[in-house]
Amino acid sequence: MVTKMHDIMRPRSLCRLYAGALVLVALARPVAATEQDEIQEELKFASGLVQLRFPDYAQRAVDKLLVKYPAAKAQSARVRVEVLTSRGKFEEAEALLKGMPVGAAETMVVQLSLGDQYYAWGKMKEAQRTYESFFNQFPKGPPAEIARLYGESAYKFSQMLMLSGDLDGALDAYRRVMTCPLNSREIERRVQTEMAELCVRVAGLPTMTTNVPAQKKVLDEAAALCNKVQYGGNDLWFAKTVVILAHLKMANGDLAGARKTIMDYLPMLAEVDAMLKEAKENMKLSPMAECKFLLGTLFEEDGRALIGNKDKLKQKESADLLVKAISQFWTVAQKYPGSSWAPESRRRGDGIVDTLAKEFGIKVKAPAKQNADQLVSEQVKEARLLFQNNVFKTAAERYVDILNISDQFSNAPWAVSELARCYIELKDEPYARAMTEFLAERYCQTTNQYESGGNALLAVASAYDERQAWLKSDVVYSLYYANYPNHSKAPVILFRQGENALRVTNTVAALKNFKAVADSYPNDRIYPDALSRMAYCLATLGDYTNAIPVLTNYMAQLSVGTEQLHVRLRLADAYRSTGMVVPALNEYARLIRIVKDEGVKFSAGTPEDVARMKKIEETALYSKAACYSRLKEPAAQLPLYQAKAIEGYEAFLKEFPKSEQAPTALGAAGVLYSLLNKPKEAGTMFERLAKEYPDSQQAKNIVAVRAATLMDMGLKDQAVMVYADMLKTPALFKPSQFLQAGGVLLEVKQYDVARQLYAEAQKTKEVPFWQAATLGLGKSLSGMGENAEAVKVLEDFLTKFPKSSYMVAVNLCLSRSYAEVAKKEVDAQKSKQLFDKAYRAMSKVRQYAKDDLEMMARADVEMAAIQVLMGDKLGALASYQRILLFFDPSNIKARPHVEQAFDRSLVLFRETGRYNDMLEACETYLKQFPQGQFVAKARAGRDEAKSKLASGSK
Amino acid sequence: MNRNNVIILAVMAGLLMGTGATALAVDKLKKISGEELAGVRIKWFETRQEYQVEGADGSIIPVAADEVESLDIAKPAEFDKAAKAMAAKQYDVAIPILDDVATRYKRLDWDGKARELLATAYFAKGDFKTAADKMGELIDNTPKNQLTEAQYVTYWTALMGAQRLAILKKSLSDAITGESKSLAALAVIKRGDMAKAEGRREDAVLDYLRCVILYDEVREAQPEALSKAADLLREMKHPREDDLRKKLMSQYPESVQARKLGGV
Repeated sequence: MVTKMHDIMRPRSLCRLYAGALVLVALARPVAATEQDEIQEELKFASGLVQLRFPDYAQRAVDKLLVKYPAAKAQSARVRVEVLTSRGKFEEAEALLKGMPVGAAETMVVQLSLGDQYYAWGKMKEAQRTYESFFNQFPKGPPAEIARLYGESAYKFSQMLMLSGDLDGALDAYRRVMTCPLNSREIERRVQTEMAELCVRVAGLPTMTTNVPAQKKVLDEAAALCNKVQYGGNDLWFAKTVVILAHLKMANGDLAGARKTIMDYLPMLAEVDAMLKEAKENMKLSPMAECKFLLGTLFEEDGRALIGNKDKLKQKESADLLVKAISQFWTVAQKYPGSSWAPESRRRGDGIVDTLAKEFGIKVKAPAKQNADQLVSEQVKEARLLFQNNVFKTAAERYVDILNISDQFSNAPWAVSELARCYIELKDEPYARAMTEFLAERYCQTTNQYESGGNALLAVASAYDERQAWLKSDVVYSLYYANYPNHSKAPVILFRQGENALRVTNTVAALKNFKAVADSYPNDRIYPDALSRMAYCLATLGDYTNAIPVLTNYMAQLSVGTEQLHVRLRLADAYRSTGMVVPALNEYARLIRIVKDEGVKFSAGTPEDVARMKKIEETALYSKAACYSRLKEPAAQLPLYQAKAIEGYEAFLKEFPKSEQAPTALGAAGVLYSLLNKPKEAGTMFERLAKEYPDSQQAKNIVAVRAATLMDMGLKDQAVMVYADMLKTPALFKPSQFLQAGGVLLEVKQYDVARQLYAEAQKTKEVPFWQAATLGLGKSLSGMGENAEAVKVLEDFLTKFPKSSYMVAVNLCLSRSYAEVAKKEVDAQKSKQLFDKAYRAMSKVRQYAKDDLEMMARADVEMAAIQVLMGDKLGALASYQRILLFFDPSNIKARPHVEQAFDRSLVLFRETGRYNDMLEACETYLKQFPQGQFVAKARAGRDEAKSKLASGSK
Repeated sequence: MNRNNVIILAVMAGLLMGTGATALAVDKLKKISGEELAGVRIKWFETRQEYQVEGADGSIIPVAADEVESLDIAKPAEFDKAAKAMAAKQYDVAIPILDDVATRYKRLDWDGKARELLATAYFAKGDFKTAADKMGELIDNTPKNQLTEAQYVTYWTALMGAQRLAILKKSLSDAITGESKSLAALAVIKRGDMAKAEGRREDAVLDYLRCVILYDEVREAQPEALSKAADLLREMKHPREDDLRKKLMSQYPESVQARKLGGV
């Protein structure tokens, strides 16, 4: 007996309300019509953005509007409430509402909008409070100018309360509706009918059944409403009141009266039924279905009550009543298959057939099942409508009814999918999961439902995606991949999942997905894109060697265009990154030639294409020169290569003087001239750098440019000498330059020169520089093996700055230094104290870096190393295994540390003879890091462990 | 000139063609009044703002420009040659021919077509300034109701390439506030492109989404707007980017953009 809210309160009516209120505002503040149009359009846009779930952009749109039209603040309040509430910022929305003028039309609209948002967020209590506070403003009923808003809001509120199960509250809300003038007599009769239906439901509540006077009052109210409706003539509403009147009789325990009521009114009901049929209305609307169902139920109850009676006449009466009941039920099932009573009627009819056979030996021939399909199809339509209108509980009940009849009709997978989604909406996870698994397994073996089954399953996954329940959606996607591997969308879904993983920088998981597409779906149109993404992931993971064949394959898939050129550039970069300089150089040279000679063929002529070609040419020119500068073999050719590199840089500078790489190119050319013993030309280059790019980092630190260029060319020793030269004239350099130089040298393990550079930087009085320099000094000393010195320096740091932002890094280094000193300490007591200090320092690292996964992984690796120094090999092994087990290997930052833990643990497994654990660790590593840097070691370790185990080791 | 005149001219032309003058083309002019004139040649006189329909017998009928609804001028032989060169991406061959057609056929239909091709040629050569000039001339010299949306889009793209942003802004603004909703939708997208090119990525997203929300009835513009918004949001690592892709794939599965994503 629930009437759907949208039947009377279409969504648009709320918009009309808002529009009405906005018109009031518009009248209050005279502005030009075009301005008002623009304001309305912008508000519509912002509201649309909220609905599209872009509240951040909606806020931006509103802000922009208010900058242009500050006077539109009040008008925009409703949208601002939508924005705030869609982000869950209800307190701010309440504050906004409080700031609005009390009693103003726009305030009421905003208040009700806030109530709607509470309801949409499932905050029924708050919705109720907001709505009631609106109604309570008018204890004696609404004034005429507000009556319409009041009435429509009360109606909406009644539907909310009904859906949330508060029937008493809903009835009160209906009473409020009735205090307002309704649009027409027809609407009034409709509302009265609904209210009478509700009264009957309320009368059946436990609170009422124990309170007879209150129950009687409500039932009388229903009767009075029915009388009012019946005065209006014989129509649908009239017919509905017949059912209500029969229910009223039943509520009073008068079953015979109820039956009589229906029988008396049957001719009139038949008229309404005929009217509907004539008007080609959906017969589900006919009240006849409910009346006949009710009648069938009454016959059945009477008939069943007489079963077992020894009086033969009574037995006959019982059988007759049951036969009459069957007749009513089957009529409903056959003639009104779309009505909500049909499935239950069918079930009851079938039940009575069994009873008649068992109790009376009467065989009743059931009507042909030919209308079963129609019944299912009609019911599915109904259930779907309920689902689309978000009436999930009723929709779920309907779907269960349908699927109990059959699960093999044409849209069955979608029915199961929607049932699963109803349960998701109802937060009934076990049922949602059961339905999802049923869906995954039920239709994957069929040919005619396979495609639809896969799609229906994906819809369930999407429902979880929308709720950002990623773990749950992952489970559904796994079911999909396992059960529907040949589904048409499988490659697209794999690809999309890969994209999602990339978005959260889970490159390893993304790579797995793209690789699956590339391996399993080479004929799919998404195949080339999968190759592209796969190459990107490999490059991100530093696996350029494997990226090269993927890029080559991808390039072969592409037709002539800028994308093809761009891929060639990626390929060249991959060659360069793996140290394959000659192939890289060839690719860059090829690119430059293509752009110059055949550019027109590759470009569609759009500004984007033209810009892209230019960028490709720019990168290729620069990189080609850089490649020449890296060539070293044969040594006799070196000057020639260097000259070629200079030539390349000059060509690049001529073509792209404004490039970001221009200062670097100038610096590199200067260095190359120096190497060729051409100081004058070198000087010219550095002068140009200082003059043409005075603000560039390179111009500010030419030493760094020279050293970095040499380092890039692989001339490490010469680079170190350049940095060491800084120490000869320290006055010429700033602390930041010493720090930068020290940092580079620490990276390449040139600890002694790094130490001297940091010591120079440490002379500064500027605290940030001093801290960075001291940390660098400590690290350099530790690198040199001067751990006791390192401890002194770092302890001094912590004494002076116990709360420095370098705390984690200082303690990390200090911990290791303590342990190294402890290991060399002969006095056991002192050694223990130092190891304790090492532990404490590491504890601080873990304490301060608990949200930094990378640092935590690093700290754990270091901790294990300290345990090794302490001689606690088993403890160290346990630490390494903890890292292998608990750190997510797909976390790109933690990954190197996890691999390092594996590598270091291998030695310990051997030393402790724990081959079982070694086998497990190797297998885990190979599974988690199929392309890891220690794959060969893991395979060898696995074989070694197997062989040892076979020979009897543990 | 009445219906008889038209018939006479046409008959004359037919006679001439029948007597071997097959090269003689028939140009037609339709007046706003509905009357049609045909002749061996139609000429345009700029200073007088007047067309002249020349009959095969040498007769000349002047028609004021504002009386003309449409023209049907025989295609210049060189035009196909230029089009072929364009197809072969031989832009330097096509340009002088098209320039010549645009000059000789001024206000005679083919000038517009030539200018459009010229713009395309300059466009492909990366000379956006000239491309914008050519499209500007086309737009200035063609009645608004005869301009296509594609021509506007080419014009805007050229203006953007030429960095004539003030003119572009004005033209887009006119289109957005103009009568054609579909042109407005395209203009909103282009305004988004402009914002994106200027690094105002959030403004760009707003424009693409504006097209999605306020111009949803312009279905042909939706895939581009959705895909551009999704791409940009992806660049900005916005969590809702995928929603737009899903919308694109489910509502416009046949669009180029959806197919590119692997939509069904």
